[in-house]
Amino acid sequence: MVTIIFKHPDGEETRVDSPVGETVMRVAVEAGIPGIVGDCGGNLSCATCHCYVDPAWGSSLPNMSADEETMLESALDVTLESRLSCQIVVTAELEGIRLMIPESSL
Amino acid sequence: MMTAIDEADPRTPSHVPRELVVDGFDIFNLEVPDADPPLVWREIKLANPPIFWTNENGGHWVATDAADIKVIQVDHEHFSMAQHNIPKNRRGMPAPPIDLDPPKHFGYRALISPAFSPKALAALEGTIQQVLDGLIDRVAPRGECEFVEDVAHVLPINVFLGMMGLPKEDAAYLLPLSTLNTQAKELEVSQRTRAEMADYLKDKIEARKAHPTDDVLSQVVHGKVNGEPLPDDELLGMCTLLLAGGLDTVASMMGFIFRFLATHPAHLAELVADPDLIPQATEEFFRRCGIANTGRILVEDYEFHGVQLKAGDLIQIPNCLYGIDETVVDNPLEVDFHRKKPIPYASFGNGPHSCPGKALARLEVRLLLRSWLSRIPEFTVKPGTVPQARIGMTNSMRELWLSWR
Ligand code: HEM
Ligand code: FES
Repeated sequence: MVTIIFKHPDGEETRVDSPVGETVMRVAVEAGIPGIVGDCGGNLSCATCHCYVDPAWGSSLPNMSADEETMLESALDVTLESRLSCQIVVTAELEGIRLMIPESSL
Repeated sequence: MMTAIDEADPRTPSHVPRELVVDGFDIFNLEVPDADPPLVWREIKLANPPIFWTNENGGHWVATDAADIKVIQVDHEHFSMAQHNIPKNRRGMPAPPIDLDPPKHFGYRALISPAFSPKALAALEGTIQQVLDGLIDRVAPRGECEFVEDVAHVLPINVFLGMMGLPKEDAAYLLPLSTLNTQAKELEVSQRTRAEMADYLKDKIEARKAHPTDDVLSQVVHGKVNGEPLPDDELLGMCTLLLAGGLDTVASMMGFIFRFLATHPAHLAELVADPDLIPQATEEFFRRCGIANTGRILVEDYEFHGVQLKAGDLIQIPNCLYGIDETVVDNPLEVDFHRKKPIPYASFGNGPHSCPGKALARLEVRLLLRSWLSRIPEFTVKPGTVPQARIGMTNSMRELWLSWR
């Protein structure tokens, strides 16, 4: 199990344990994290799984695909830390990763 | 007079035990005393076995336990979406993605998801606010209104027409169809209603095929599933679903919320004093006021909690019962704007079919509350009137007279 920390816009945090190989979007939806909806089920068609990756972890993630970059344009308040969480696959290296939920997603 | 209480109803299928049959249970003919359908469903739940059978409307099961509702919503290996309305084949036409199971469902859903992306919704916010301002300008000086017809139904139809790039004037034609769509008991009426909705959309779709414009209708018309354009009947069915899905549902949700506020002055005052509570209050209302009464069809014979279900059986899951179950939240009937987040509910479904319009509905409700409460902060049910609700494929608010000074 890998611990993933979701940081809510009000500063509170929720820690969720996830098996390796799961996507962060599915972990969040399963745990009922407000602001991560995953409407399209991970098909890069909705941008309702937008999150900010703590910069300390950014380099542990594979780069964005062109399709993810395109879909991210449909999210709000996109920054350099933005990712679509359905494209982040949980690996052992991500233990303790912190992901911020955008205020605009609530 | 014969009262054949002990006589078995000849319609009862042989695999259904007598003790699980509730005689005469007809979802289209339930009394709804306080215009509060979840309370009616709760009484039904308390009075009957957790999974019971009725012979009315073609015959179907009803599951009322919160845990069962959630399982049945998502377990598509046993509980298929191929039929999910009562009576069966209510629409008389395909309606992808809602009548498809995974994995086929996935590609169709991806075609409509972009219409509800955060940026797409943000672009609709102006339209919604403009419609709301116009509505409130019109009713505020009157000191009273019939909220369902004057406000609750007007907003979502205008939002749909706006999204689709269709003329606002068409609302007058579409609105009566929206009610029949969820409330007609007769198959012939529900299918004709659906066909009339589809007829309305047909030439609009043809026009977009020839000349794409910048709207959701064009996106869907020119969209592809697994690299292929949709066949005409599926395309028409999908567009009709988008039309039908967000009218009576949103309007009824708003109606139930305003019925509650009109009869609970302390809650109303709390929201007026602290509008920052509106987002949280919206979630709490979604929990307390589930709307949809869809079901599933059994893929194969399946024993579920000791009940033998048979392939082809329809099972209804009134999803409002999930949020008002003691096993899900404490004091479930109470509306409390300070519950621990996230507030659990099944009102928009769960799993792959969960409602794509949820964020839009949420936006419409929040903006309505914000605008209305800032302009008309005190209101009650108009003296001498009684709010009216019905139950059918949705819990539907029919009439709510409000008055204020
Ligand atoms: C308060 C308002 C609403 C409620 C309570 C609601 C409820 C639901 C529920 C419960 C489902 C899943 C049905 C099931 O699993 O059996 C659903 C699906 C759906 N809803 Fe909504 N809905 C609302 C608003 C909207 C709006 C505004 C739209 C669109 C404009 C919409 C379009 C749809 C569509 C297209 C589906 C099918 C999704 C799929 O099968 O993948 N709904 N809705
Ligand atoms: S879940 Fe739809 S884009 Fe990530």
